[in-house]
Amino acid sequence: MIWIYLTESLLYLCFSLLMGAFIIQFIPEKLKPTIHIPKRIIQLAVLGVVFFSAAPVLRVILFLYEDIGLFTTLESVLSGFEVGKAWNLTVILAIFFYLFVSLFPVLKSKALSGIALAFTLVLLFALGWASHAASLTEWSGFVFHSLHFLAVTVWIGILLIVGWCSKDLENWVSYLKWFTPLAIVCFLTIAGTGLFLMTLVINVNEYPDAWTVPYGQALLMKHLTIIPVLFFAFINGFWIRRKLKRQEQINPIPWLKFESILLFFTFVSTGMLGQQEPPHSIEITLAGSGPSAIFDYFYSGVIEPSMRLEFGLNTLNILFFIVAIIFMWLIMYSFRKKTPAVVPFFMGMFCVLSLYFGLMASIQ
Amino acid sequence: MKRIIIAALILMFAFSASASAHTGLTSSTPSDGDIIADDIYEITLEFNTNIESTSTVKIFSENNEEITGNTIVNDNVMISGFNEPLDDGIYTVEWKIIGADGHPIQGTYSFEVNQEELNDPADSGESGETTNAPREVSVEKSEEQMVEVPSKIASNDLLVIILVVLFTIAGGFFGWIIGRRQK
Repeated sequence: MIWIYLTESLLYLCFSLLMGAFIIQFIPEKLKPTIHIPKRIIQLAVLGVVFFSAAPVLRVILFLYEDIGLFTTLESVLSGFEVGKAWNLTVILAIFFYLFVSLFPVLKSKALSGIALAFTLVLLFALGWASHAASLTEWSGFVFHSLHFLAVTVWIGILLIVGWCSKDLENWVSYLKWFTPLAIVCFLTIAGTGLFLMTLVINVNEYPDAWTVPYGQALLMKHLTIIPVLFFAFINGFWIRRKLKRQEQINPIPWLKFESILLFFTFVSTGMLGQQEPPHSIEITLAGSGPSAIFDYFYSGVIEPSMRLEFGLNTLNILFFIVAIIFMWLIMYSFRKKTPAVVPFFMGMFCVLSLYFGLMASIQ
Repeated sequence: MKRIIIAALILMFAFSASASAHTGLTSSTPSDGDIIADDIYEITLEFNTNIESTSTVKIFSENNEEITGNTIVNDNVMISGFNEPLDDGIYTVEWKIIGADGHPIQGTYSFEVNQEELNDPADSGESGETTNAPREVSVEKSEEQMVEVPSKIASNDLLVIILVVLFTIAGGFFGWIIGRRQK
């Protein structure tokens, strides 16, 4: 099952790259550093969309072919299933897209970049079509899922492109001037639509109870991995800007790179989340599929389908939360003391672990 | 160190994922653990999501022979019908479905056909009782399965070790940053 989480995460990465690469073309030269995007990356990202979006289809085929034969399976999955139909559309669009980016200088002209951006958007909607949320509601699931994903790819796409493809630090302050508000808007959109998508699957009051099943564990992991990202975003958006304005010597690029690596962990946990069985009823899921192995490990009591988790503070989890706060403080402190960006990157990861274990330890 | 952390994260994900056998079955006739005294011509499975038409259900007898049936899928209901009623014995039902979102889900359960013991159609009260009784049994059974074996490592000890390690790391980094400044 690990391969499907990885392909999902890489799929999000490809979409983000495409989105970022084409959006940045519309930003005036004065408002961004010098950026050079190799065309090979765009081509690879388009191919990545085709291959990585095939993973869920492949999984369905592998699941079925023993029973009804490979050919029948291929035929019915590709022509009958929603995931298959969505993938067909993805492949057809992606072939044209690939030819388009290969034959035309898409990164040289705004009009061509606009067409490429439109291609990316349609592909993104095709992905939303096959999503879990879309299968649950008439239209709202599809709209919110697509909007959620759109906000993610816009924010992270620009971050990736600027972090990994910029050649100098020119116009950095004016770049931050528009990117920081954009990132905040994207983040609020992500939070709002994410909350809605969550209510489709679980009752928000039962959020901690969902930790008993793998879906809830993945959801918790996803939410926790966002915390260090926010610290990095704050440093990149505000502190670095202040330092640059004061003409202090600082290179923001490594900080952006590590922020994007942290975001990749969020992608991985999102990929996991998307492939877990959503516990519409925690009780039924727990009775049918059993608890998450990790939860089972930490929970010493008897796990019953109808149980509700009780929380409380004890010495152990208070200490975990304290160490988590120390790690958060260390992220800021290491920036102030001008350590390499890799140090707060690890602080962020340890912070996630401390919070996770602290929450697990607080279950009575 | 980066590698170790990445490996640890991947391991963690792997563990939380290993228990992801799915269920989507909301009800079925006959249901899990039922003992049926009537002729059975079909079994019906109802799921909590609409399912794709290639979903399958297989019924195996005690001797592991597959009973062939005609399966029909209609929205969220799958029905498998047989030409002849099932003989006495314990049957295992294996179902595999694809939800409308493309998530494959599978599961098994079993029921028993036993017409010899309770073959008295005049006494409807008794047969009603018998369908109730096994259900309770099945509920108890599933609860028993949930009871955890107490022999696993006391998780508290592990958490304490993790806590100590985390504090050490935090202290180590803090010391390193301080020391670095003094150079």
